[in-house]
Amino acid sequence: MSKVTRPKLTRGTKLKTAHVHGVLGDIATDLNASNVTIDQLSDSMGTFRINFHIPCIDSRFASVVQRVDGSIAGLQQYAIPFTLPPAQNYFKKTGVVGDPPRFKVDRGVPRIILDEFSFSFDQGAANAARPDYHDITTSYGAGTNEGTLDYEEIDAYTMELSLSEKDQWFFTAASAVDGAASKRHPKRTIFTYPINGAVFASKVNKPNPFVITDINHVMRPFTTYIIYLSLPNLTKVGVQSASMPNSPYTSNPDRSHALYSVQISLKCRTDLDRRDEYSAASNSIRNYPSKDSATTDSIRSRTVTGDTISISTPLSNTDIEAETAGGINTNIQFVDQAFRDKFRGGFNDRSETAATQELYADSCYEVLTIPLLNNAQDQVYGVKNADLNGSYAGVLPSGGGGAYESIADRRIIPLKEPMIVHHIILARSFMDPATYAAHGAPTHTEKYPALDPNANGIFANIQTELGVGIGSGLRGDLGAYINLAYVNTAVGAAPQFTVIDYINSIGNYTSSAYTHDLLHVPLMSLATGSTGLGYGSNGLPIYMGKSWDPTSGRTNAINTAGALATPATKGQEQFLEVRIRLSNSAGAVQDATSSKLYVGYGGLWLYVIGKKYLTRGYHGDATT
Amino acid sequence: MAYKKSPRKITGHQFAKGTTIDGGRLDDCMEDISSRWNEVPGGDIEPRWTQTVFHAGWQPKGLTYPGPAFTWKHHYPWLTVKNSIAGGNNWLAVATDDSLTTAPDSVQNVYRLKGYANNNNNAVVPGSADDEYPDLNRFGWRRAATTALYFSRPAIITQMSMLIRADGADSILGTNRPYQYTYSAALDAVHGAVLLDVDDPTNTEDRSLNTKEFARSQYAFRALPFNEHASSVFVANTFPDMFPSVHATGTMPYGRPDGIAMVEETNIPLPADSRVRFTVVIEDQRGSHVPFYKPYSLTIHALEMVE
Repeated sequence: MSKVTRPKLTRGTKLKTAHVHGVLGDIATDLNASNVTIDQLSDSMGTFRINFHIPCIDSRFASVVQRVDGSIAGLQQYAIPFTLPPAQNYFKKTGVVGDPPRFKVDRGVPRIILDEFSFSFDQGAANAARPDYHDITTSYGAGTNEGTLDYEEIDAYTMELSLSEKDQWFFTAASAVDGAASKRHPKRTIFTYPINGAVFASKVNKPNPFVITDINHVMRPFTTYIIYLSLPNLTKVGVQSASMPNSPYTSNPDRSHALYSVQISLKCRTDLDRRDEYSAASNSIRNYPSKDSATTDSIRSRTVTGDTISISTPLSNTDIEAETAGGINTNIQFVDQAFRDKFRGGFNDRSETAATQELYADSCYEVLTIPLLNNAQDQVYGVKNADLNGSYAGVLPSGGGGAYESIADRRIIPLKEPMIVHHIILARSFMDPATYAAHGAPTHTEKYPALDPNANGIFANIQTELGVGIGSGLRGDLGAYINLAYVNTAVGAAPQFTVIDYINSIGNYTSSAYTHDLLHVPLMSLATGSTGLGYGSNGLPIYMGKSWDPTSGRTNAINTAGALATPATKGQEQFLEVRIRLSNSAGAVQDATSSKLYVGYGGLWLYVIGKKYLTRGYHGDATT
Repeated sequence: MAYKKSPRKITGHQFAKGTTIDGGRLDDCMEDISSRWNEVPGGDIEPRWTQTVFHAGWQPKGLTYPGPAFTWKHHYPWLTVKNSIAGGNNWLAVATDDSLTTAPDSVQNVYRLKGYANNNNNAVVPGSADDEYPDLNRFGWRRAATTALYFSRPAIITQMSMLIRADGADSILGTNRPYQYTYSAALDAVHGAVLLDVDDPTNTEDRSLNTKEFARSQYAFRALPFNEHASSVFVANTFPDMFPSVHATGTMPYGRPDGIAMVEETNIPLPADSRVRFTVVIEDQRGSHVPFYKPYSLTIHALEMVE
């Protein structure tokens, strides 16, 4: 606590140094020690957002899921799961073999409060619906109305937005294999918001973006959250046909529509937190700027930099003076100047800290959301028909010389402000496209992956190679990368995924199959073992951020051989890169005998979770 | 500037040599100081912002190699830039009246964007059959993807980027596939536009009233390579790579990073309650669809205030 209390100076009271100099001295002590804490800040919460961009949701998404016998299994909602694990320094779990792990949340873990939910899509500045390219009167993919303006059927955009939460399988499973369907459904709904499609025909104040404010819901760690988007009218299906076996409708068909460029943003508040400090002994952050961490002044307090504020206290029974060394005005001036200079902390966009730091907490929670393998031709990647996958089928890129076909994706995201990565989470979708059966799936349930007995999320028919890294060379002269995380399920050896949760987004569907899973992706760790904290094995936090020359020196990072080494990027990283490659166990992508999905509707979501820093609004430098 | 009797920031009291002093003034002064210290206002904190990243990226089917012949079926998420096109309708005729030949009155924004078109970047060869529809040429064969964001509190857009990935020349595929228009080599230099608009606060649906915060039209995408000296900076099979590697000995098929990288450093302040629309405009090549089968990565970096 660095708030001050002061004795009141009531009439007739003898003036003591405690009335003035004592208070100023307490303030100076905290200023010198970088101890301006969040409980004395009127604005003490940082913000972060969980942002999802979906290129489209078209009528191929099966809102209504039908069983093989023709009965309706339930309404499938477009779902996106995510979780917000605490930073590694707050991550506590226990457990023994044969007993599910238990988590522990201590006091002091920064709160995360969901404040705002916004949803938008691209109507093209028109008060109309937008048909997709399917013409359901004949067959999928044969429509000619794609992207046109449909003023008649705006009710296609009638929808329901909701956010639900559920306990995580990781903490509830009685054993490594627990397929209880009840554990795949949400436990509690945080909000549900129905939207009548007619509002999107408005010519005035159209709610696009649609915003729900003042939610004020405390988000819990170690909990899975699921965004649900129910779109019952997007697919208005007519006569059942071989290409539309899932349709429950028998009336004449209407047009089918799509949502284009869907943007979902969850804005959260979170307590400002003490930033991660490098310690060679106890917290050797990888790739961390070594400018300060080489000494003891990773926090540049006034004491460390020698710029202390010193309050001179006059002797008792001396005259009350204003401008002498112990004068009231002189000492108020010291504190006033500190306020005038403003309290500082955080990092700028070149990984440089403030010259002196008064703030105790200058970082907060952060989530980067990265889509992978989305917007494919059929919105899914299946095993049976490789030619529909947009894959590199037939390409032989393997250094091993084998026939390595692959479905691959690669995302590059420029870095602006720095952050420290604590966790990486992968959400996989196996949501069902309506016409997948037309590609040869004999039964509905086979479209999902088989219940996986492997706690590492490895399917017999899907091999995943995932790398998350940072790189330099974007119009620069150093072309290099280092990994933040890397998993190759084909290898079998560590590091591997750890399954956090299974989610079924189909209501009332009791099968043990599921539509999503959440996997923990371990950060890079030494070949001799991991030293970080997370759901499964995890590496230590890794810094990523641009630099100028003084901050380009970095602590060692784990290289691809699993050893500590000078980062190949030399502190010059400019972008975050994610690479993913899928194949089946035979090193190919096509298996005519299988009907499983590699990637379900909507693709995958990768969450890079960590801490970001407070920063100034403008750095005075508009160069890259 | 308003009158202020004291140069002090934390209190209105000024104590100077030769002036009187009393307990009431001192008590007021210390109350000012302790109150401000115990509830530090946001304006006393210099770094009051944190970064927010909005990322959109997708990979369409076009990346099949050698695969079957390229057949593009849909254009998601690209929509036409104009809601009413002379020479062709892009609205659905209502079922009760198929004879409509002009846009219905309900077309609210004929032009959904402004600031993207000019006479130099038609995707149509002058004098060709397509050239008979000047309006169509200038506007109709372009498509735009718009992402709408909402900021309830003030924010600053600090960076906008658009990466259009292509396989590097060292790809296992044996050839890179740069982003270029093949429909007309003469029109290859100037392509699309990148726009950032803020809706008018009083008439949010009239796009002609939008405030343009950022506009780059006549954008020569090809002039923005990921690295102009890629072959020497990313020396094939030897540059330090991550796993899974894109080297010939690796398992990823892409090769070194290549393609288009537009990275614009900005300093765009946004007021509270802003509806922001980030748009990329590309040209539709009428049949070849080259721009569509590129994987796009669109990223907006913004700063939002502590609360």
